[in-house]
Amino acid sequence: MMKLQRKNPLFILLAIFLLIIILHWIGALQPVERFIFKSIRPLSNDLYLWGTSISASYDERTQKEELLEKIESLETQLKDLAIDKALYQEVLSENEKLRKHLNFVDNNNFTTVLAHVIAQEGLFTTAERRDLVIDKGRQAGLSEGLAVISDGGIVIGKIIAVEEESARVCLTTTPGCQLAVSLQNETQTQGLSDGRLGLTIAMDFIPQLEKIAISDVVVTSGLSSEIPRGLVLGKVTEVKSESNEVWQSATIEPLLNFNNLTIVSVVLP
Amino acid sequence: MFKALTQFLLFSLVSILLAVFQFSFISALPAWGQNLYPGVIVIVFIIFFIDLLPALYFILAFGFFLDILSFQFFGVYTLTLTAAALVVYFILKNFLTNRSLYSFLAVMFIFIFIYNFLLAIISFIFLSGSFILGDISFWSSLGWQFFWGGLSAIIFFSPLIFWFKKFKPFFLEKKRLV
Repeated sequence: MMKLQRKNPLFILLAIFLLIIILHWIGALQPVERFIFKSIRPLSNDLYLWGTSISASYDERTQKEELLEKIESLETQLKDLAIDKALYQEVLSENEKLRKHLNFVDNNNFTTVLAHVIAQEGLFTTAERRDLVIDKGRQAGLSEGLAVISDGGIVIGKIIAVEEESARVCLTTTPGCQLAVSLQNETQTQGLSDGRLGLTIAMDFIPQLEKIAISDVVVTSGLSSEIPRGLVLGKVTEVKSESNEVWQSATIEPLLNFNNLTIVSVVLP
Repeated sequence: MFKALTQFLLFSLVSILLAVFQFSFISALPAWGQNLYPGVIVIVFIIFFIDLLPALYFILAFGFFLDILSFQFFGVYTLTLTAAALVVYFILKNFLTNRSLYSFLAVMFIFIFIYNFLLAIISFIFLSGSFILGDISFWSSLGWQFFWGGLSAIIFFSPLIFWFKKFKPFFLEKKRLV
């Protein structure tokens, strides 16, 4: 045995590597993996917070000029919103009366699980392919397909993979991260949202007859069994509609910056 | 025996700390910082200044912890790091025999390129990923990795030369014609 070690250490290492792979796939390494993950979770959380604070201070310096422009535009919007608020109050009052009459159940009390973001994950460091890793998993009752929201109740993505003590979340701006959504317009247009380049969200294959306006709010449609209805994704910022095309598409801007998320909630069905 | 055990424990501790640091801290940095791979840099240093076998031990530990933490195909990091290490060691032993800063930089760049190339191929063939080799962001990311790897090589080469006292020339030696 010692001779073999002296002569063929590479084969020994290869054998160890293959053994680890086999043990992982048959599940024999799970207790070890869970113990390791639980042990490093506090350190992982602190390191991620440290990294995001560096990232946030770097972003602040570069975004100052953009912020000044945005302030001017927001002041204009504020005036328009005052009128909208008055109309909203009327609609809300009517809605409450109707609910009492029809005895609807209030669907806004969701059951959530709080989780910390401990890493951004991806084989390559390209902006459009960064998923988040959170420190809750199957043990906390999570499963694939559940919606993940920010502290303001805005949908940031959904769970795409679950381990015992962790889960992977795709952001709504990631290509391939699709959600069943609907627009808050006259016809409650329904469709599928998908990420674009890690920056925005797109809603394609909308029939030409549907009327979509800039600033229409996009929410989850509830057609997916795991994700409840009414969770806000973002607002429409651009509509691409050609008269000779069958479909039109909308670009949706998320309502918050995903770069500095540290605490999220998972909505349980 | 005690010394070997202490070295083994220290080795494992450094591996797991580096894996957690790579997984959590580096991933949270702005885009230019996310391409810093301390694990890759350490592996290249070990191959160049010590030998292949300690580097493979390190890869086994570092890759194992990285595979546990990540949601990628289990073993993908260990496999690609090992393959890159073997190729780089072969090149070092057969072609870059003059152990200067230039050969060290060449080893660093070759390792980084092979590691990323293998990940791209594995992602495309086995993980239903897109063909990222045609993506400008892949090459941009590679450029940043070369930058960090090269910077680390230049900064740490001299102190390590002094410490190991194995490699005399800093730059390539010039042969006197007279």
